[in-house]
Amino acid sequence: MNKLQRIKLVQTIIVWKKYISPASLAAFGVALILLIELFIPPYIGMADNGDYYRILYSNGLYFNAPDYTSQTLGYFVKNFGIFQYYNENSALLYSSQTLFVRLALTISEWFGYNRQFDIRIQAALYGVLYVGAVYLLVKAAAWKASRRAGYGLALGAVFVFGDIGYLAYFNSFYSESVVLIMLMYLFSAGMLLYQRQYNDYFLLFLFGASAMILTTSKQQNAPIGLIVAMVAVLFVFLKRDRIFRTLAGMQAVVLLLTAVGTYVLIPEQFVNINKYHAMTRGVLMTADNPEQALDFFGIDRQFSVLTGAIYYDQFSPIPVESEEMQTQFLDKYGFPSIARYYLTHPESAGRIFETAARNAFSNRTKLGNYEKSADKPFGKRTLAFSGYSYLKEWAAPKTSGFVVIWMIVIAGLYAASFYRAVKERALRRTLRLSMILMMMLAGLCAMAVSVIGAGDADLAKHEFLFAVAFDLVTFWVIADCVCRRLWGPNAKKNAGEEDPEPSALLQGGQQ
Amino acid sequence: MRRRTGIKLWVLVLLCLSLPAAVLIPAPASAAQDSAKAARVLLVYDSLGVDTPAAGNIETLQRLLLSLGATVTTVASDAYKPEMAKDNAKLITVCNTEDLCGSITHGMTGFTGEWLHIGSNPPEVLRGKLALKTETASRQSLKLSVNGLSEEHIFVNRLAYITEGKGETYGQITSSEGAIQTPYAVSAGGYAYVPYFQSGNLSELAIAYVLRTWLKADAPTQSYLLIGGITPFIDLDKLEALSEQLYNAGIPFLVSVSPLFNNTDYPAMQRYAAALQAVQAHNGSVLVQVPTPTSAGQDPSILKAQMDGFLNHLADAGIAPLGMTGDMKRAQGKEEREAGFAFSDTTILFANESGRASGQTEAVQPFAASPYTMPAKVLLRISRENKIWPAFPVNLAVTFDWFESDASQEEAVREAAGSWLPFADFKSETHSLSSSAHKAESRSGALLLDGKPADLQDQAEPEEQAPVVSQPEQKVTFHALFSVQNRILIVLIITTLMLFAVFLLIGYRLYKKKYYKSGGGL
Repeated sequence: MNKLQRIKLVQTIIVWKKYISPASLAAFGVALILLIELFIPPYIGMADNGDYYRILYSNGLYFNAPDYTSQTLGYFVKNFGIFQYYNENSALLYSSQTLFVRLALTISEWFGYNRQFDIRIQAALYGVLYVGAVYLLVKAAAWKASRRAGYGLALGAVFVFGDIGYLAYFNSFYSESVVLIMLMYLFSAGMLLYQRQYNDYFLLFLFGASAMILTTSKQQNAPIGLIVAMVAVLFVFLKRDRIFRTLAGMQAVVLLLTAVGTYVLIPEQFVNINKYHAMTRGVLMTADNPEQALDFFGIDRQFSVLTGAIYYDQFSPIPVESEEMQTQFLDKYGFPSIARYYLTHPESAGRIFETAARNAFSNRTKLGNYEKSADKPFGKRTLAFSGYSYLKEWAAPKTSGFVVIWMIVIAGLYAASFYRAVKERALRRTLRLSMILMMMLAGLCAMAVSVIGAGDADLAKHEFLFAVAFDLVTFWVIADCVCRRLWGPNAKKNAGEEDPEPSALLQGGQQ
Repeated sequence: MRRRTGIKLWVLVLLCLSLPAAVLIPAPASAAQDSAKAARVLLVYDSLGVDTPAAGNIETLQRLLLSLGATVTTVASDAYKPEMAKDNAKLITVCNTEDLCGSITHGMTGFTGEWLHIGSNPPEVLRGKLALKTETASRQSLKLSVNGLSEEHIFVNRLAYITEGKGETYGQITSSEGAIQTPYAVSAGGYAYVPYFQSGNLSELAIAYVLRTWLKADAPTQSYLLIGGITPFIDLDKLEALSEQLYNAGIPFLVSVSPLFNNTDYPAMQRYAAALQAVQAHNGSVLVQVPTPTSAGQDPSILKAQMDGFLNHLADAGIAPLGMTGDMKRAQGKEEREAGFAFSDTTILFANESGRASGQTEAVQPFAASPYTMPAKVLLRISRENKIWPAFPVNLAVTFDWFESDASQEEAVREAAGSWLPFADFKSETHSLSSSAHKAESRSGALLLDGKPADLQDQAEPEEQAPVVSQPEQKVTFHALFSVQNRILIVLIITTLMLFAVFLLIGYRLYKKKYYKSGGGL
């Protein structure tokens, strides 16, 4: 390489650095993986676990593959039929996921595909949103970072958030894709607010919108809505501006109402399968004496023989779908009574938490990723771009103790700056720990809801929200370390603690 | 010449001696329908008649034929091949849909064996052999009577009936208006014609009489009382009370019990076993139901091991099950049959839950003893001329489903006791069931377990023990911190400690050197 070539290369790198920021690089990287995996054959997606029919039929879609049932759990199906005549189920609005499915359906019809729905249209829609979310996350994470650290973080973000364990959800009808995207927007919006990187009104809107979509994506997310609403109250004191305060206040109230509304209005999806597992693989399995546990719910003691039973067991003393099972067993308990049981039986709660923690670090389900036409074995999962999920599953100590230590260590890392922020009445800076705590609590809540609602069955999917929250928070902490926002000579400067912006509370306090 | 006379005399004496012996020794049930054993029947149908009154009649016919000891091969008429007829000496054709069955006998004209046709459009061969003339009528309310039994108000949309025929006739069909008065069926020389057959009414028994003659089955028949749907989750006290009630009423009975495959060491299983022992103590016989697979499908190899485990558990608790029960469709698949029914040759088959016959084309072998199940509500609806029931054409298991309420239980016991049905003791026949570790059998009223008389004393309530629940092994908290992935951390800490020690040593030496230097300077 002669001197001229070297100069050219350096110039190219300078130009590249000028126009491609770390955030753009991360967004571009994730977009590229999305394109390769989801839109170029063999297409990667997720097999139906039997839950699709609810979201499909309520949105005017149906299973049109003749051998659809035989592909359940094992193969990803990308084409579905669109109802050509009156759909009696169409009035049902199940969740915010419906919005995305209907939008994808409308786009499909614009392009003239009005008989068959290709799920990749929905994947494209989610993909665009997700790339935006990754952009904002890295934008926030690489704030005031050196170039090297910034690009390092961008590559890290591609590694973590471009993992196929996440992206494959976009080619599916699971609401986890909505959870993933919205949780990322929510976290990024909160962090960007603290950093004042964008207009406060825009970020307030982004936070509110993503929180609402996240909360209403399924009934189980109602408690998460409550946690988010509590953090949203903080925004009221962020600015002196009356309009901002009014809007922030209204938003907090709306979020609170949304959380309550989600619990009350969204149809109960505590379906029999989960309900059965909640008892047989939750309460009964963790009880010292299953018969006494059954007494708590007023169920006949004989049902103790179902301890550890799975809904899909090939044989059951009485068929799980039978009327006897419904009236004598399933109808006798619900989510609130199981929650009450765990509250009054801490030993069982401890055991189930341990089980939950054991499964909380798995980003991938056991559902097949390939189409049947790809000639792969039933239930085959792709290995491409799955480095992070494998690393996490292998390396994370899967115990409740680790979850607790992780939370304490992280809260401890930010405690000092939080204390300083409170002392200096700089409310905006308290947002950093608040957002992190919000994510951790939301993750814990999702964990609790999943074990109360379905015992230890299918935990990798049910604890998805915890997995995302864990990744986001851990990524953020690493970013703060890499960008030296936690310690070091410039920590305060890097963390924005020297930025001049007296908070509304401070001024209010002086007045 | 004298020698020949001597032999004749001996033969005569032997005959005279063996004749009363043959009469006196009771024929075991397993030998029932021996003459029909060799019969291989090909059952060809035009349609299953789903969602029509005919629905389920093919499956009922299959069960009847198996109970009568015939080997049955069932095919739809469009899957019929002429070579199939060669393997089967007997042919039954069923016309469920008048429009479809015009061609059902097409290709069967060359069949030379015995032939029974059910439904409209009897084939020409039969018309000729039975000098048959038929007519059809629409929307009729009929009275069907056979052998002293009768049922009124049987509504049929379309009925083919016999106007002329030659041979033995069975029963009578009379329309409510009196316009139709015709025999229910006619048969002669191995050919038979039954114009009407539907499950769930007297025609089930009526056709059984025809089949019995057609298959040349002549063994005496019995009827049994069978209580189905016994699971570990029913009110076991009620089961014990029922056993006592039936025992006091002098009715021997059978129970079909669901197996339990997991947690068999739980007190719940002990209570279940105690209740079944009470059944046994009250002259009840236990049959084990092969479970219907759940919607998740099934693997027969797993089932066999699980069933074996449960049968061993029962035997360990002193219970001697005498046979199996299960859905008809389970007897049809080779693997399923082997997995579920291999333990015993005594098997009672229930109608499939969906009521549909499967499109199995393999020959289904009969069991040594397989009473035909008929719901009590169907049988007790039938009127009879005398209080005493006529002999049934087939061994009959009159079934009651498990009772939801005390009232329905009381009523059922009253019905059974007042029905004048001669319920036989299942144990008086020879039945046996072998699991991997035990053998249960019954012989002339005796119940044997591993060759010894089974304990028929009602056991006291099992002692309530603290449930033995083995907790799934929990990972010890912080365990992972000291395991595989954290060994690196331990190595790091040890290395750091060692480095620390080295630095300490170096520092100490430096400090000492400094001290000596300054000391030297002094």
